[in-house]
Amino acid sequence: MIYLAIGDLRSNPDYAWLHLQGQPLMSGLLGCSYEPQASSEAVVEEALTLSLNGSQAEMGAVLRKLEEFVYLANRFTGEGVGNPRYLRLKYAGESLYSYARILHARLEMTGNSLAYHDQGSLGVRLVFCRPNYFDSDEIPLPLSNGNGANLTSGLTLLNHDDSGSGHDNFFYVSALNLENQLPAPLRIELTNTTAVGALGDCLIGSQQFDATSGSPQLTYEAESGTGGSTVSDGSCSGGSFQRLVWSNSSWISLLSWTLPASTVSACQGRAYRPILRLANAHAYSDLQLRLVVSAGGVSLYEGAPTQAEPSLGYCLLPPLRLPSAVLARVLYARPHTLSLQAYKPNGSSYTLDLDYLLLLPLDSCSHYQAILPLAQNDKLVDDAFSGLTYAVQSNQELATHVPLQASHHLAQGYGAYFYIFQADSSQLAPIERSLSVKAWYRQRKRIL
Amino acid sequence: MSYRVTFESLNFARTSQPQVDLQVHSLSWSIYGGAERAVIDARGSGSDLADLFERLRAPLCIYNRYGSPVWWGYLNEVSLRMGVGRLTRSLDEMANRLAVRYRYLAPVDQLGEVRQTDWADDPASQAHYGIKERVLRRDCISESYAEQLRDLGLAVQANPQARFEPGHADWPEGVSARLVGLGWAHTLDWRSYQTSAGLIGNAPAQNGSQAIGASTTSLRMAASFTPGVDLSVRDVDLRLRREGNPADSIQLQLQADAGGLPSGSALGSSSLAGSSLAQESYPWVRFNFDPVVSLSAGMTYWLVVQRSGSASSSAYYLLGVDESLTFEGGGLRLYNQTLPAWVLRSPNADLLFRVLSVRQTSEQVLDVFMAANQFLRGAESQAASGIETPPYQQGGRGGWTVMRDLLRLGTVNQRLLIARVSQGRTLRIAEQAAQGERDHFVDEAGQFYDQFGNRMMPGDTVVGEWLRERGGLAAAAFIEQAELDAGSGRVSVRAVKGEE
Repeated sequence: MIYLAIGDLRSNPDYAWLHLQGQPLMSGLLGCSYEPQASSEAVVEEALTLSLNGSQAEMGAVLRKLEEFVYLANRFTGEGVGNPRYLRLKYAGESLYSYARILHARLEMTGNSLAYHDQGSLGVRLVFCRPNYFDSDEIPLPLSNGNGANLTSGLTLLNHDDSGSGHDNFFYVSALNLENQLPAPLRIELTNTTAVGALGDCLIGSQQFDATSGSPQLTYEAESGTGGSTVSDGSCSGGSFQRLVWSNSSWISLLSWTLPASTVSACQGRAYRPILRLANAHAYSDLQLRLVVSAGGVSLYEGAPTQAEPSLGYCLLPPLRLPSAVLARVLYARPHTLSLQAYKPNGSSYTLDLDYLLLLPLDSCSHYQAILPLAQNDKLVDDAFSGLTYAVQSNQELATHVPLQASHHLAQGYGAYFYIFQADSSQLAPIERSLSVKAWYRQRKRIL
Repeated sequence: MSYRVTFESLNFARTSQPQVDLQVHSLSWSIYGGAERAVIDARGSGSDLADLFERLRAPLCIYNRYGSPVWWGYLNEVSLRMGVGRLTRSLDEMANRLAVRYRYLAPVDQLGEVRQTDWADDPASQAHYGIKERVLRRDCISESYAEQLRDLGLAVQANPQARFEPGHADWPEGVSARLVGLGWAHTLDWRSYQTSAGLIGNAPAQNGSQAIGASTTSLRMAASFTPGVDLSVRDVDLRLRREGNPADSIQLQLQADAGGLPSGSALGSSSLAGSSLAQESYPWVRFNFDPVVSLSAGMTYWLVVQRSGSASSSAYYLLGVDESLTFEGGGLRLYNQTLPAWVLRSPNADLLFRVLSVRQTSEQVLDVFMAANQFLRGAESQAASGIETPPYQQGGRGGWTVMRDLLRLGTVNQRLLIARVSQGRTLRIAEQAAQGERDHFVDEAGQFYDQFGNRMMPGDTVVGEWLRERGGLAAAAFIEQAELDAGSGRVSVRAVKGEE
């Protein structure tokens, strides 16, 4: 038994769907046949062949329903008006429906239609284009970190990751909780639980790994690096920051960290976005920073210079790969040295107070730029299934953040660490900022 | 390869994004400006697409899939698919500050004088888009004609006008609009740049001559001038010839003013052998000052011409002068040794002269930037060119055009000067790296690698780098421009050819 219907996920009570097979059909609709097409294209064109039988009024009602569906599906695709339309399927015995978004549709009559129509029968084909995959109903995704294990009711994240209990800026997804044939679309919901300071910009990046890669160390305290002097500060990760003072007017190394062999090996050539959290925003309009990667004293990578904007509590540097080059991965990679270098065009004395470096993993990533910051208890939602990013404020929706990348997916067979970096409406990044995170995923498959 | 396009508001604040699907078609970069041009295809409904017209001059930034900004600039043009053609609005044709430069009416076979109307402004358009100047050029018209031409031109051009053009054959299927972005450096061309710095002089038609050293009443001649800006004088040109065969030399001194007369103390001097001068006509003759002589704006200085030997009525020097006295910037004196005193010439005259000052081209680039900039945060030169030229600029060329010409002169090391606008909208000028210093690589598959052999990130370019074949023996080429086809991910590059 196959359950087949077309309709709208937003009006999701079952009666709102037009059943085509497997359930009682509307009067005038006799049945439907559907053969999914095998294709390697991103979008496939298929058809539902519908048999109509009944009075002219009954068949007319079915045709009106179908034409309305075609109109609404095309209108959403073309103009973004209304809601997307879907084809819904389920085999008997399955608990979850599978959905395919109808991108474009048209209704065609089959041969001999006029003669059949006159006798109370009609054949029509609903021809449509859909993405070359099906997504299931949403499944709550258990999340874990130092604040809880396998929670679906909301997991707390802070804006830093030090040895303090629950001081985690990441959540973990176990591969054991996933069942997906293709990269599964995620819906991530962040609730701002910080009482003071709205949620401004925010970055989410994931490291997705199998049993051979694991999770490397991605947060490095400034005070664990070499260079500068350590200053105690309870508002900083690890309880202190590193003060870097210099006056050279050429490129100069300020601070360096050693990435251990286990970390470099586990990175496997992935891309990471270095984020520097500053303990105190600086005021220099001409300060440039870059990262240099070396091993054994030999430079392996030199990042493009980035202007460190004044008054910001953080600095985003260009993505880099670790290790820089492709290695055989038979042995451990050699430890790397990560050096923060600075340039300014004058001989004045500059000071940079650095708290930590986060290498945000970019297996999936997005930078959400705030147009309107989110107050306490407001939610930011990124839904890869619908392709939408929106906020929920006082139980009402509003587009408050512009995502700079596509939404998040989970690779098949992989677990994942998701790291989140938060800034407030003043573009500072206090470490005590907190979020409550929930996530859902949909099983994605190409073959039904 | 997915790239994300984001807009800011016209005043550089974050704003809501257009409700259309934007796909990057191509991106290009240049060593002159960095981000050069972006072509973006849009799909969406009519009203949402029409909204794009309102975003002309809005900042736009394009990110790669890792969230790294790879191209930034402003929206310069929007074209909407309209039946068999396209409706386009562009900032290219817009001008909200207009003047007409023209030759005034003149009798047949004579050239009228060159005049320029006052500027006419459209403040509303300027407040919205920024100031965009245009100078219309005409010949043989009257003042009233020029002013009407200016006013009508401003009324028509003050805002982006729509034009309809046939065809959109090169647009991918389903694309309903195409956007063109330009790099910020292009806005430096919105304002014309002129400066008289670098040249001060008096060069009308010669009307008279003055003998130097023919008698004791004219052993020396001095002419004054007052520069409007600080000058570093490298050369002075005079119209000069010899009479007979003087065996001595002719000397030119720059002297400060003392009570309305030459001070008698040379700030710098230059000499030419009398035998090197022409005997006929009055060619422009150059006196070179090495080291350069620094003069201050607003101070009066004297050019003092004298022979090194004694007076001779058969072998002396003749200077071109203008007895019609059109020069308003200074006076002329002769030194009468018999008095002895500086006296007025009779009839009075002006010296024909050109004082040429020099300035490093890298400094000139910053001068032009300061005058032409509207939208960038600042400029920073990380390299001195070491090349000195007169900064004089006339003709009303756009600031960026002037800057590019100066950058193309390169440095004393015979390397190019490269200028890039950073994402933070700072213009940074640097010297081209030496070949072999940090060469980049490309392999047979078209994949680019940095100087360490690392695969480059999507949207990172080799513009401004020496590029060589990976594993090959071919010589490196210095890459001036690159264009990315976003659909295929293929990058085409163009190497510097040199001036033609």
